[in-house]
Amino acid sequence: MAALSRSSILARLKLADNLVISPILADSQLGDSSIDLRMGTVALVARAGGQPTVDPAIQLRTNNDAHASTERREQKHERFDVPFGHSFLLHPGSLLLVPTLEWVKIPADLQGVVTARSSWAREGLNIATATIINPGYQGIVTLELANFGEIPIKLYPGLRIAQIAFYELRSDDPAADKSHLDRSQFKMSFEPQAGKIADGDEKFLSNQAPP
Amino acid sequence: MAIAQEFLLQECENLRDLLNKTLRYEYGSADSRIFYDECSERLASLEAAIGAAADPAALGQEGNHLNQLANLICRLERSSISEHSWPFVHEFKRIASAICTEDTLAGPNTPNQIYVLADGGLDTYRIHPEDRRPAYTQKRLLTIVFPKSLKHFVLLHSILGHELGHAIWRCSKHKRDMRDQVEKHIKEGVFASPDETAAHIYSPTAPLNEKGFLGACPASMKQDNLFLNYANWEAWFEEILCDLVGLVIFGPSFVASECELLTSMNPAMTGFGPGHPPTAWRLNYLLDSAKILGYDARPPDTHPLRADIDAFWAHLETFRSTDPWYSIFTDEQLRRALGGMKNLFNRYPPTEYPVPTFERLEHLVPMLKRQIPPVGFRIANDGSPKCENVDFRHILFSGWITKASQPAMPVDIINKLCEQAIMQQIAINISLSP
Repeated sequence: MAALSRSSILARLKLADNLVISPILADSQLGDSSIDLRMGTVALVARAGGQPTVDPAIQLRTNNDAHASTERREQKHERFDVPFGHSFLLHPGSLLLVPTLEWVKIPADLQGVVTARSSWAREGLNIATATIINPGYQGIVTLELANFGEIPIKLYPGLRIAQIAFYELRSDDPAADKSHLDRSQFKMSFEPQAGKIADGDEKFLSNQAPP
Repeated sequence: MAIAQEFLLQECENLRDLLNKTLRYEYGSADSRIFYDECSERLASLEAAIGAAADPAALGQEGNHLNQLANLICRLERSSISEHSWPFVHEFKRIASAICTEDTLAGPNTPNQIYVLADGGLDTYRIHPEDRRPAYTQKRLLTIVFPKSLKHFVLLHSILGHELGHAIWRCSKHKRDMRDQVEKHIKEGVFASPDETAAHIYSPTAPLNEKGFLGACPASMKQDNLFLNYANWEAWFEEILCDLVGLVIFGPSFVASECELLTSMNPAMTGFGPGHPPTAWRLNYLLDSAKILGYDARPPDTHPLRADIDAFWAHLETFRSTDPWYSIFTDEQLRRALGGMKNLFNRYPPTEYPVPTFERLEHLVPMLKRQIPPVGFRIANDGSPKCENVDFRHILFSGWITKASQPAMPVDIINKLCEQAIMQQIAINISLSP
């Protein structure tokens, strides 16, 4: 697995139906082996009173009750539109989900890895995890921002807060991989969404309601 | 009178409480402060006027003003930015603020104060212009209403061009131009007078389905009392005028959104309403007007977008009613009316729709087909990123072209990609600004 250099990234961006990062507002966004990503205009922040715990077992139990599961999902976060020129305050210890300004499309033979920019990390702003963007993905990238510092950070849409690097994938069965990817046509992400933490792990979760 | 006065003064206090409570809401734009100040100022002056009212008539008038203010405050309680598409509103406000201006003590061409809210219903696109400013020092308020369920359907939002027409028509600054350069050209031929229009409606040559519509109307409705008791001819005129305004502001996207919305609300496309002329008339003169303005221009046969643009216009032509009864204006009439309107809008950029080059569309439409928000961005041959200004109306047009030429592509995806593009284009425009 080799990382793409600046020239390789640019060569991919110029090709039709290959890598897409759009728009890139300034040449300075292009690094030696990465592209800076800007904050988009939506902010999802966890509501302290919205949910007692994050418990995948509860998610599983409420899946049969459309009202309860939807209510829990919708009430977990508060959603804000933050137009350009406005700001959002991220308090110490808080988690904030924001989209990137850029639209990202990853071709079948690449993987994207999103990390914080070191200049912001020094101020305490971190991308909570290094986000892996799978091949075939298209849409905004959800950034999980956390303030590890001791004072609040004011975030403005349009700021460069993350970076994405690209790695070439090795494939033993390109046809099978392509067939798997093709199933996701028209699936794209426009806004940050809460994760589906129970999916696929049902057997490990208790079905008993807490006492 | 004392009881009424006491009640209204109490209502002023209630409204002040209500107004303060609106500060708890996140409007998400600088407008909330201006709105608060504007309403506070109006409330204070109304309270003084109610306290000083010397007779029941004056008190009743102030009571009406208080009622209007109460409605406004309650409406704006629902104007949270999360309820509508803010990128579209951002761009739409630029047009509304350019054309809906008045000369006030603050200076010439003071823009109206615009507020946006969302409401239920499919066809709740509205603009409520305030009838008059309460004082020379204050701005006229324009309240723009979006259907909440269609928040992301920015392609349909082009219909607001029509609603903006109502605001422009009520704008005292443009009244003379609109009368001299537009109204007189529309009010000719079939639309020369209520009698001429009624005669056309009841013409023996009217299509059978239209005669059927008249047959189902109350028996007391006749040709000679149609515009006396059952329909408002001046309201019909205003609707026609506003259709043409919408076209000159939003271009082909307006025709497409009007075709889609009007036929969705009236699938039979027959008949008329008390305040609205026959749907089929409206679609016919819009299609004719788009041709007159050259909006339907096609690139050469070999152009990569030729088939897509053909598909768009061919789809719109399916909304045309072929019976000559449905074409109520001559091309010459429309040409003069549209020319007058363009002359006026030209003076208030960016009001008039800028016709895109085929190169512009050739850049945007393929992006959308590849499921990328269509914006003014490309990687140049030298490898550097290049950004350029793109009018949001061109993004909408590229959306409609894609919708017509790519039937397999889900409509909500096209709309969301266009909405995302308008947001991204705002960022591009900021980055290009000096």
